[in-house]
Amino acid sequence: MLKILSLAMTLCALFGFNYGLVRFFRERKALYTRMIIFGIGSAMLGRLFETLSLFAFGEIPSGFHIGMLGIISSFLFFFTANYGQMDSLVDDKSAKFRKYRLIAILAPVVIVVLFIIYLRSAEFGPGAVARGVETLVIALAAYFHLKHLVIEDVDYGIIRSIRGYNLLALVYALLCMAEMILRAAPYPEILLVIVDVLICIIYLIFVPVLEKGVNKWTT
Amino acid sequence: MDNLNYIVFICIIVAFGMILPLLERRTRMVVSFMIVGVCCCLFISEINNLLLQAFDEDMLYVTTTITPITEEIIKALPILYCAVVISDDRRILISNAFAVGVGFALLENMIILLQNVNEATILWALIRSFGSGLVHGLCTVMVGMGISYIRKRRKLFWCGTFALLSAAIIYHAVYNVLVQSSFRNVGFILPILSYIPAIILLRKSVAARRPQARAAA
Amino acid sequence: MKKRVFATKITAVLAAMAVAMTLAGFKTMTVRAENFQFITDIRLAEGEKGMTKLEDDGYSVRVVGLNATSEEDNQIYVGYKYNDGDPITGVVVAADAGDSIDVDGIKYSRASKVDVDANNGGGGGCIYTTTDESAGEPLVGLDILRSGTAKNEKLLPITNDGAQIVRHTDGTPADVEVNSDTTIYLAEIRDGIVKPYISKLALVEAENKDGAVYSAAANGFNYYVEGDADTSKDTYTILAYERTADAKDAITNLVALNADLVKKLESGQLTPGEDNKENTASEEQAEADNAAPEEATEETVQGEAEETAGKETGEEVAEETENEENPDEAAEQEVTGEETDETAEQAAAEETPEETVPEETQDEVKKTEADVTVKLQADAVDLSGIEYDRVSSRQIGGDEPFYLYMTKDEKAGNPISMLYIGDSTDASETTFGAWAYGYFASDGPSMANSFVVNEDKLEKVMTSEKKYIRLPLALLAVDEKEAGEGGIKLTAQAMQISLLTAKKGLPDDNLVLNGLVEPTYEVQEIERDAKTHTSDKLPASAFGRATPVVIILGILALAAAVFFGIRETARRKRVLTRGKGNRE
Repeated sequence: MLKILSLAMTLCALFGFNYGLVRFFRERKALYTRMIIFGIGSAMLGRLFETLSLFAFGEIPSGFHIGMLGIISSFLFFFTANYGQMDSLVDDKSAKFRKYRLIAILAPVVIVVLFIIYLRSAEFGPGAVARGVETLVIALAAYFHLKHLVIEDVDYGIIRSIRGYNLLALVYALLCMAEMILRAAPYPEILLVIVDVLICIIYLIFVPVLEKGVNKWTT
Repeated sequence: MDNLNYIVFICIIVAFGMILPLLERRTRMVVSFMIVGVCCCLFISEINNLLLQAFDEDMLYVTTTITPITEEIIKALPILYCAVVISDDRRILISNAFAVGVGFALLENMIILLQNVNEATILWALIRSFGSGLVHGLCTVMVGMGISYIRKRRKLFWCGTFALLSAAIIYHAVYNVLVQSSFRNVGFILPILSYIPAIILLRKSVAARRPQARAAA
Repeated sequence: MKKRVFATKITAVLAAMAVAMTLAGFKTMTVRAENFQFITDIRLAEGEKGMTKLEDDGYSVRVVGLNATSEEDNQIYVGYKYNDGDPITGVVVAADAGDSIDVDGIKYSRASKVDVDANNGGGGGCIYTTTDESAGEPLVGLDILRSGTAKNEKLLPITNDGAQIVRHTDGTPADVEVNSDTTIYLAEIRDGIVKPYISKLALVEAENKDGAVYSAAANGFNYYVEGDADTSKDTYTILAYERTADAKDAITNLVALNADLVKKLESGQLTPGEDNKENTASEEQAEADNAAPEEATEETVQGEAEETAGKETGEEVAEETENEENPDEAAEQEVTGEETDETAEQAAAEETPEETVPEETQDEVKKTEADVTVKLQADAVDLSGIEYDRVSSRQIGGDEPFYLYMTKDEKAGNPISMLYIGDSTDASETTFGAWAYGYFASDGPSMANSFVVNEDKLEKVMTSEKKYIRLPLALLAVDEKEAGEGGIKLTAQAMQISLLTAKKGLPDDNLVLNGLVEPTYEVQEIERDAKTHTSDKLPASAFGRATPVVIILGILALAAAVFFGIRETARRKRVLTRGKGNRE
C-alpha cells in the first residue's frame, strides 16, 4: 500500500511539475512562479527516491536518506519565492502589518510542536538532524505562507489572488510534518494513507490553483 | 605491487597532459577539465573509503546515501570555479561540466574494473560505460546548466545552488539504488533515457540561438 | 540516396555487433558459472622435493604443511587438483588399511600412502577420499588450521564458518599432528557452504568449553552457539547445531517447557495422553534416528536413549576420566553418536515399537533415566496444533529448570537463522562466519567464497528490528488455574537463550498445550544449490585506500583553487571599479 501511495505521490508531483513547466516556462512567466515549479520538481525528485527505495529494498531508510534533500529543496524554493520575491511587495515592515507578522509566527510554532512530537518517537541520529533541518525550512516557508494568507492586501491585489496557493502550501507543510511523525511512530497505517492521499491531491491542484491566482495579476 | 588505482590514474593523466600543449585553446580547456574530473575521482575515492569505514563498511547505505553527496559536491566545485573565475558562458560551462563528469567516470570505471576483474564482461563494460559514464556526465551538466542560469539571478543563488546539487545528488542516488537492486536494467536504461532528451534540448537551444547570434552580428 | 543506403548498412552492422557483444557477455557469465572449481584429486608429499614434484605434476600445493616443524624437508605438503575427474565429496583420516576402506557404507579410497604425521613420529594415518555423492557436497577448497605455538593454546574443531573439520572414521576430529602439543586440522570447504537456517540442534555438556565443542564435533556437528547455555552448573553446556539451505527443513520455533510441566505431562495430569508403549516407542524412534548430521533428517529429538547408539561418550565415561588432553572422553555429552545401521533406522520407522526395542537398549534407557531428574516420556508435545519435539533429555536452568522443544512446522514461525546465548543485545558479538555472510548474499543460491554480501540485509539484522527480531526463548509454565482445562499459558519470560527470526509470522503468543503426540519422522533430502555465483548487482562507487597523501594533496588543490578563485574575483572587481571610476 505504501509503495502504491509513494508511487502515486511521485506521479502526482511529476504531473504538477510538467504542468508547471508547460504553463509557466514556455511563456516565460514571473520568476516567482518558476521558483514554485522548481520547488515541485524538487519534491518530485525526493518522492522518486523514496519510491525507488520502497520498490528496490522494501523500505525507506529510517535515518537520513537522499529523498529528504528533495523535500528540503522544495520548501527552500517556496521560502525563497515568498521571501525574496513577494514579501517586499506586501509588507513594508511598518507597524501597520505587525499584527500579521505576529499571527504568522503561529505557523512555525505549530511546525516546531509537530517536530517535538516527532522527536518523541524518533531515534536520535543523522536522520533526526536532517529532519530538524527539514523542519526549519518548512517552518520558515510556513511563516510566509500564513503571513501572506492573512495579511491585508495592498492596492495591487497581488497577494489576495494567490491566497488559494498559500493556503495549499501551508496545508502541504503541515501534511509533510504529519507524514514525518506517522512514519516514525507505530500509528495506524490508515492515518499515513490519508495524509499521503491528501499530499497527492495537493500536488495535483497546486499549479492550477497558482495559475488561476497568477492569471488575475494580468487581468 | 603498488596501488593499481594510482597506476591507472598516472597512465590517464599523463596521456591527457601530454597532448594539452598541442591543442587549441577551447579544446585544451575541455581536456583540462577532463583531467580535473579524473583527479576529483581519485580524491573522492580515497574520501569514500574513509566514509565507508566511518559507516561500518555498510556499502549499500554509503553508495546510495553518502557517496552521491560527496561525489556531486566535489564534481560541482570545478564547475563553480569555472563559472566564477573563467566564464559563465552557458556553452563553455556545459562542455566543461560534461568533461569533468566523463573524466570522473573514466577513472571510476577503471577503479571498479580493477576491484572486480572477475566479474567483468563485455556486457559489464557496456553497462558501466553507458550507465555510469552518462550519469556522471549528466549530473555535472545539470549543475553546469543550472549555475549558468542562477549566476544571472541573484535571488535564486542560494536555494538554486542547493536545489541543483540536490537534484544531481538525487539523480545519482537513484542510479546507484537501481544498479544495486533487482531493477538494474532500469538503472542501465535511465541515463540513456535522460541523455537523449538532454541532447535534443541542447541542440534545439543552440539552433535557436544561432539565428539570434547571426542577427546580432 | 546511395549515402542513405550506405549509412543504413553501417548502422545494421553496428547493431549486429552490439547484439553479438551483448550475447558474448552473457555467454561469458554463464561459462564462468559452469567452470567453478571442484577438488578432484588430493595427494600428500614429503619435503620440499615432494612439493616440487607435486607442482610439476600440476597440483596446487598448500604452503602450510601438516607437520609442526620449520624444517622443510620434514614437512608434509598437501596438493590438490581441480576439475580433473569426479569431485571429491568427503575426506577422512584413517590408519593405513589398504587402497580402500568402508565408512558408513561409503567406499573411501586412499589418496596417498604418505602418513599425515610422517617424519615427525608417524602414526597419524592416511588420507582417504570419496567421490560418493551421499558423502556430502563436493569440495571446493581445503584449509589447514593450526593452533598457535603458545602452550596450551587450543584449536577448536568447530569453526562456525561453514568449514568442516576432517574426521577420523569414528567421527572424532582428526588432529594430524599426533606427536606434539600443537593441533593441526584439515578443513573441508564444500560447495553450498551457505546454509541460512538451523536444522538440527543438540545440547552438549562437558567439563569445559573445549571438551563440549570437541564432543559436538565428534558427533558430527559443525556449528555451535558461543556461550554456556546452562550457567547454573559448573560444567559447560553448548548448543550444537547444523545448518540447511532448505527452508522447509529449518527449525521454526524453539520453546522451553518447565520441568514441572513435563512431569505433569508424563504423569498424565494434563492429558489423558499416551501409554508407556508409545513413549517407549518415541524414545526408541529418537534413538534409531540419531543419524549423523550430514544426513540432515528432519528429526533432531534426542531422547534419553541417546547414549546407546554405539559410542562410549556417556556420563559414566565422563565420571571415570578427567583427561583434559582428550576432551572427547571427558565430555559429559547429550548428543548421540553416529548411527551407522541404516536397517535399524528403517526398522524403527516401519515396525512396531515393542518389536523393535532391543532388550539391551531398554536396559540402557533405564540406566540413563536413573541419572536424570525427571522421568522423561514427553518426547513430543502438541502446542496449539503444532508438534514440538524435545531437543534433549537434558534439562537446563537451576531454580527453574526447563527442557528445550523445537518444531519445524511452518505455522510456528519463520525459519530461525541464529541462536544466541546470554543477555547481550549486540548482535555483532556473535561469530557470523561464512554461512551468515552468505545468508546476507544477493538473492539466489550462493557457493563457497563466491557470494556478495547484501550489506543492507546485514545492516537490518545488526541494527534494525523492523524486519528481523530476536526473540527470547518462550517459557511454558504450569498455570494451575488453567491446567485442568489443558490450557497452558506462554509466559514471555526472558531466558538465557534467544533466537533470531524474521518478524513476519512470529509464533503464536498464546500457545495452548494439547497433550502428547506421537513424533513423526520423515527424511528430507537437502537439494543442492544450483550453480551460479555471478553477482546481479553492479558496484556503484569507486573506493580507494584512504591514502593520506592523496587526501592531503586533494585538500591542498581545493585550497589553492579557492585562493586563486578569490584572488581572481577580487582582481576583476578592482578592474571593474577602476573602469567605473574612469567613466565617472
